Formats: sequence, structure tokens, C-alpha cells
Amino acid sequence: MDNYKKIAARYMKKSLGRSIFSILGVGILSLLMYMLFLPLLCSNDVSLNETKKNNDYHMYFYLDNKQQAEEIINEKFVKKAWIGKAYSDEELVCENALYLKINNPYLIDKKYEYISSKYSLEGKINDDLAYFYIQGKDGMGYVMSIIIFVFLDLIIAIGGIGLIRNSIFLYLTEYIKDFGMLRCIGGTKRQIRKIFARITWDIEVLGIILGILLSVPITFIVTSLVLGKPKMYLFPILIIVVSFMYDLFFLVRDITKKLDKLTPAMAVHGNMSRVIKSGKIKARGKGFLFALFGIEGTYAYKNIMRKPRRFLLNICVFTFGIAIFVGFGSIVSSIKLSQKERFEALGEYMVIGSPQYVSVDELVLMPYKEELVKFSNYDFVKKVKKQQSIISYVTNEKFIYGKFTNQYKNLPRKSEAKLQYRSEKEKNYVNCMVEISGYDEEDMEMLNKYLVEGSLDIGENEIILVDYEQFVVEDDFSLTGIKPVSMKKYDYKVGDTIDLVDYQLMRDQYSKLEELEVYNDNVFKKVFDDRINDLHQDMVKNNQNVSFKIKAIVKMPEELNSLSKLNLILPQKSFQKYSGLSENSYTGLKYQFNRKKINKNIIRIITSMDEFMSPGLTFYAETLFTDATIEVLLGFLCCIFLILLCNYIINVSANINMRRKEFAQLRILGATKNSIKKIVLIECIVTLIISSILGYFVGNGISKNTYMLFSSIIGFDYKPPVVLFLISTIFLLGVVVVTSIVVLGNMKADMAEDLREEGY
Amino acid sequence: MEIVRLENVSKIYGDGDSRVWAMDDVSLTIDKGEIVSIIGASGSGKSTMLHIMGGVDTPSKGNVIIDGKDITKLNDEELSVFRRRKIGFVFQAYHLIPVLTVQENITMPILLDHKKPEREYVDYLIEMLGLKDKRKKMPNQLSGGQQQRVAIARALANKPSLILADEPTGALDSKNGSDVIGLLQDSVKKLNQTMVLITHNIDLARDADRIIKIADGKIVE
Repeated sequence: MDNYKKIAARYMKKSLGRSIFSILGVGILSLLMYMLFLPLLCSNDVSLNETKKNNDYHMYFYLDNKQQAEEIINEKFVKKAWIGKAYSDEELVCENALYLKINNPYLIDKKYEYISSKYSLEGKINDDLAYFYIQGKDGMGYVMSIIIFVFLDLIIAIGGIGLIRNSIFLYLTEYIKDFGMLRCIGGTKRQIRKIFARITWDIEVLGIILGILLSVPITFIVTSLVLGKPKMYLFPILIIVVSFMYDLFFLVRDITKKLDKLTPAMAVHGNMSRVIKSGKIKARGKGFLFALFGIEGTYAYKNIMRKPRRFLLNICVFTFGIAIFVGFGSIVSSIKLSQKERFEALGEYMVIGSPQYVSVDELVLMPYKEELVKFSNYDFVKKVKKQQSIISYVTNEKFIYGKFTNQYKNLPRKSEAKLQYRSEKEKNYVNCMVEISGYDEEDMEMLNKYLVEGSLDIGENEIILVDYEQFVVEDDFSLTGIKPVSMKKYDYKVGDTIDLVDYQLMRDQYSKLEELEVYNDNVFKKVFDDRINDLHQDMVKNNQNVSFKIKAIVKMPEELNSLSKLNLILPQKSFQKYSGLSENSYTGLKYQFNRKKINKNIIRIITSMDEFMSPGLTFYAETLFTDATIEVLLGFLCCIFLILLCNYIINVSANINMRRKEFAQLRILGATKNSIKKIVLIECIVTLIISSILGYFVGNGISKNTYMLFSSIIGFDYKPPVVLFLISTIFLLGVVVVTSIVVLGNMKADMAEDLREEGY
Repeated sequence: MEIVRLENVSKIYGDGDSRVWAMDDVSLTIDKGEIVSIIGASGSGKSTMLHIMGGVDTPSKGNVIIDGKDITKLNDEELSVFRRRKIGFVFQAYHLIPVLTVQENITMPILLDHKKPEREYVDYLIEMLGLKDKRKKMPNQLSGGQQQRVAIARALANKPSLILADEPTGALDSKNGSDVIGLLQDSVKKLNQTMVLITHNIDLARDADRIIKIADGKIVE
């Protein structure tokens, strides 16, 4: 029978609405799966192009002689070669290095090894470029990023494929009698399977083609804008095809199992219960729904319990969808909320620079002065001003370690508190380090919003303490199991005193020590550590210190202050008096950024200066990654929610459509249309509520674990997914209600015709 | 020459206390070219016997030999092939395939056999059954009588040895019913086929060459 294709097409045409819906479903799913990859692949291409601009070579080798170069150039796999200088960390390492580009960049590692061993040459792979071809030392990182996206894509595929399956099974249930009749007149099992496999194949293939066609213009537009020329990516198409073909195989297999049970006798007798299980018919009580909803509730309860497996399957499917949505959704909302809070703080100045040490001249330490000035000229920099800070020392470590609060000391995770006894092993001065910053009027004004205790009217020998740190602790008693805790680290109160060494004196004495060593031809015999330590001990012994009274305690965001040391703040004049730095000297620069103008270049800029980055600057780099992550996650969430929505709609409409005869019988007995609606709604809502509650708990677990993963890359506070859960449940409830009303409204009034429908 | 032989055929549904003997140790032969009517009360086992003869249902015990072949020994695939080539079914409820046209419904058994329908023969059947202007129509566009004619044409399409008709006139009015029976009888005689017919209509039954009466799963006459 060659016309099984025609028969399949006829059945698809007969249920045209469902066929179109299914094809569209596959199409949209394919499109979404493609679109999820687009940002990753596009941004990789952008990065690849930028990398190629400056470093368009795959590897280089340090040449011994010219003949070697000629031999290597003649290798078949070499595409391009030239001689040039080779640098490592901006130092010239080779005058005549042979730079190579090979034909197949996916073999960079292999060809490098080959040349290296054949010609006994040393060299280097261009890891920046090799990365994009899954080569070099970072190649696996690229693979990992692809794997994450493939994983997300597969989650979408799983959810969407469930939807398609529902739709395909509806064909089976609706036309099972016809297939039975074909068996009766001599159709074999294989022939029947072919018809059904063809229906399934047509839907999936047409859907995939539709999805890919829809993705073409979008991809062309995006790539034209981003890359300057239109481009299509084949990799996502491969994932789509593999996912759907994999599912097609299992779907056809599952349907085959059902069709194989179909005998001609069933068609003739009209009894399909072995193929389409009519459910467990047994006597049941009224059920708890009777108390709530009366007879309609009882009927709904009995109907649900008639097919407990089906009910559980629906619960599982919906729970999965809600869990994914709630789980990842909470991460997105947590990130966005955290960003919002932190950006408010980041209107402040970010520091690039390092505090001055007694041992070092400020100008020497000044990181790449030209670079900092160049940095000031970027368009995302709003304002620039001088930063002044120093590393000084308290006279006794008790001013630091002895002042930890109990709460801080009892943190379950490793913290400085647990290292308080290191002082026995470390030299004293290390444990006495503090960072002191000088704040001008503008900075002091900014401190008002961070003030926790005291007053910012700082007089002579008065100082401001920076306290409070945020930790993430695991909390078994919390619903979420995670609790970001902002805690007071130091047990200081306003009015307490803190003794610091006389910084200027220490600095002078240090300089004298150095001169003395040189004079005695003992050039820097003692290491820095010992010199500082000795100085510190002497100064403490001789009471060469300055006492400050704590006038104010402030709580500042991490991005504005490094909290690895005790941080103190003095108004500029007091600071200059204490430190000896002049008004014109500076240990770094402070920048205020225009967030909207931050672009990807900042990552490259910052990483080239990474030694001197402040935490805040890092956050800006993270922001770009975060924004991209949020976009991807939002896109992913939209897909999941869409699939969930479609699944609900299909389920509700299928539930109604396949029970026309049953509803007709009820109506003949006197049930009104509203009663029927009530029965259907109760069934759907019970499923929704159970799956929502389960989905919340599962989603919470996903959320918590994903938070743990992401928070190591992006710092943000965790917010439990309660609001998201409520919103999604209410929305889905609305969808269920509307779908039920619409589908029931469209059902024919002709009960007699419905009664004649062959039920099962 | 016999075309149907049932040897101690029984068909049991259910088990334990709820066992029902739809057929109880029935033995029967039907010769080629015979028209046999089966009559009996509702639930007597008439349809069960017909289905077992046609390979639609399998007996719990006994052998069923159709045109020299013991169909109880055939596997599912072989039985399907046998059915499409040797047996033609006509049901009370017509059971046409709703997505196929009249012509396609008729030629379905031939196509299932991977053969090309003989145009002349199909045209002859369509003409004989008065369906000439209905070729391209769908089943839902036909009356009951017309649908039953299509079902008959389908049953005859592969020139089967045996026609099994299960109350073919049950859903028709008397005029349509007698037309349909007449067509069946004419065709059977022209093509030298054998027909087994279940009917409640005693007049129709009397027109047959032999009447078999069934009660409680056994042949009583």
C-alpha cells in the first residue's frame, strides 16, 4: 500500500486545526531552540573577529634557522606564514618567530604538537584565538559554554516535545476505530503503523522546517547588525533536528506499542479498552470535592480517579514545567533585584589604585599612570578624581581580631574569624594592617546614606569605621535554605578608641633604615617583612602611636570598599595630617561611570589592568555578563512558559473534546452546560493546584542550587520564588478557565449527534 | 467442494464464574457457492461465529479451515493478508473509512495488497452498485443505503472467495435493504462466491440455500 502517505495527509487534513497547531508548535519550539543559541554564537563571532584584528595567527615558533621556516611553510596544512617578533607579557622573546595560520583551525593543538616534535621547536599557541576552535588551554571552557546552552535547549525540547506528544496521541484516540477497520479489511500492523508514523513525521518535519525558515530572517537581521554581514548558524539546527528525530523515534515506538494491541475484533466489537485504556472503573465514595463543590465535585473526582496514571502523568509534566519556570525565574528576578540595589550604590566612585605602603614611594606604586589617564578618556567615564589611601597599622591585633563579634566568629563557613589564631604563626604587623582612606567633601556627603551609628561631623583625632559584611549562609530552618546575612563584623561602638602607629614617623624611619643598609653595604639584606615588623614593635614599645575615637560607623556596599582589612575613613585634611600625603599626591584615581555607556570593551580594558581593579570595577564587568545571562535566562523562561501554556491548553481542550458523548449523556439526564463547565474546571484546577504546589518545591530546589552556582560568578542576593510562583499559578489558572469556557462554548448543541459518536 | 469448515470451535469470554461460551463446540461445513443464512436471538453467538470464520476473532478452541487453509495456525500478518484476499466483510454499521472517497474505500483492500486495482472491474462494481456519480464523494455525503453499497463494493473488490455479511440491512429501510441483498446475491452468483449472511429478517433468510439456527453458542438447526 503506497498511498499511506495520502491517507496520513487525509487524517491531518481532517483534524486540520490540530495539525496546524501541532506543526506550529514544533515550528515555534524549533525557533525558540535556535534563538537561544543566537546570542552565544553571535557574541562569540564578535569576540572572534575582535581577537583576529590584533592576533590573527594560530601559533608561532621560535626559529633556529631559515631553512626550518621553509620546510614548515611547505607543509600542506599551513595556510599562511610570516616572520615577526614574538612578545610575552610585553617583553620581546624572539626577534624571528615564525607565525602560522593553518587550514583547519580545529586542529591547532594537533598541528602544533606535530611541528613542535618534528622540527624540535618551541613556540606558543595563540590561546585567545584557539579558544574559539576548542583548542588551546582554554578550549574546554568554550565547550562548557556550548554544553550549558545545549542543556538549556534540551530542557525546552523536553517540555515542548511533551506538548507535541499530547497532540499526536489525540490523533490516535480520535481515529482508533478507523485504524481498527483497516485491520479488519486486511491492513497489517505494519501498514497501520506506517500511516501513523507518517502523520508524526510530517508534523515534526514540517514544524522543524517552519522553525528554521522563521529563524532565517531574524538571524540575518541580528547578524547583519552585530557582525556587519548576514550569517546562519548550523549548529543549533543540528541540535533541533537531533532532538526531534530522537523524540520521533520514541514517539513512534510508543504509538506502535498501542497500535500493535489493536485487533480487528476490537474495531468490530467497538471495544478499544486494551488500546485506549478506558480507566479503572470501580466504586468510589463521594470524595472530598463533594463537600466543596457538590455533585459536580464528586463527578470530577471520580473521573480523575478513573485514570490515575494519566492524572499522575499530567501532574508530573506540569510540575516539571512550573518547577523550571519558578526555579530559573527566581534566579532572574534575584539578579535583577540585586542589580538594581547595587547600581544605586554604584552611582558612587569606583577606585582604581592601591593604598600606599610605608615602604613604597607613591609614584612608583602608581599603576600605569598613562593607562589611568587613558582610562579617564573613555566615554563611559563620567567623572574622575584623585584617590588617597594608605596601609597603616594598629598597635595591637586585639583592635582587629579581638573585636570580632560573636556572630561573625560563629559563621559556619571559613572566615577570618577562624584564622584569628594565625597570629601565633604570622608576624605581628601583618595582623595589624588597616586601610585608611581620605575622603573629600563630596565623598563625605555620600557617606550620609551609609551612616549606621554616630555622626559624620569628624573632629580632630576622630575617625569613621567601615563595618558590616554580607555572607551567604545555609540555613536549614529557612524555607529557602539560603539566607544572605548582613552582619556586624566588629564589636565597636561610637566612642571607642583605636590606636594607630604614627604613620609618618614609621615611614621616615623606614626610609632611614633603607639608607642605612645601603650605607653599610648591606643592600636590602633584611626583607621587607622583617623591617616592618621590627619597626612596628619598636613603635609600639615606644608608644609612638595616635589614638582615634570612633565617631561614626558606616555600612558600605562591597563594591566601594574592600573588606579584607579593617577599613577606616578620615576627612581629607585629617587624612593628610595623619599620612603626610599632600593635597596633590594621590595613590589612585576614582571614577564615576555612566552605566548606560558601559560596553564589552570594559572587560578587555579591565583585564589588562586587573592587578589594580577595585571590586566595584569588577562588578561592571560582571554586569555585562549578568545582562547577557539575564537575556538568555529570560528567553529560556519565555520558552518554558509558552510550552507550559500550550500544554495546558491542549490538555484542557483534549479533555473536553474526547468526552463529547459523555457530556451529551449527562445533558440528556438534565445537567446544564454550566454544570458541565464546572466539572471540567474542577478537574483542571485540581491538576493545576497540585502541580503548582509540587512545582514550587521542586523549583525552589532548582533555584537554590542554581543560585549556589551563579553566585560564585555573579554576586547577588537570593530571593525565594514566592511571588513568581503566585503570579504563574494565577495566570495559568486564568488560562485554564478561559480555555475551558471557550472550548465548551464551541461544542455543538446537538446531543444526539454527540451520542452517536463512537466513544471508547 | 467445501470452502468453510469449523471443527469443534469454541469461543469463551471471561474466566471463572463470569465465563461466557459465545460458541460451544461448533462444527460446520459450507460448500463453495452456497448462500447460508445464520439466524438466532440476540447474544446467541451469530456474530461471533461470523467473526471467527473471517479471521477477525480467534477461537478459544478448535480449527477453522477456509478455502483449504487452517487460519488458526496463521500469525497476525498472514491472517491479515489472508483476510484481504479471501474474505469480504459487510457490516451493519458500514465501517467505511471516513477520510477516503467512495472509490478509495472500494479499492482499499486491493491497495493494501500492494496491487494495482483493475480499472474495469472496479468500474463494473461501481456501476453494478449504482455508485457511478458518487465516486469522488466522501462517506459522510452519502445516505445509509449508499454507504452500504460502498461497503459491499469494498467487500467484493478483491474478488474474495467468501463474503461474510453481518446484518447488512440492519440499518436500512426495507426498500434499500432488499436492494442490497439483491445486489449481494447477484454478485455472489456471478462471481461464484460463497456468502454467509446474518439476518433477523426471516424472509431474507429463507432466500438462502441453507439456514443455520444458533442458540446459546450451539447450532440447533
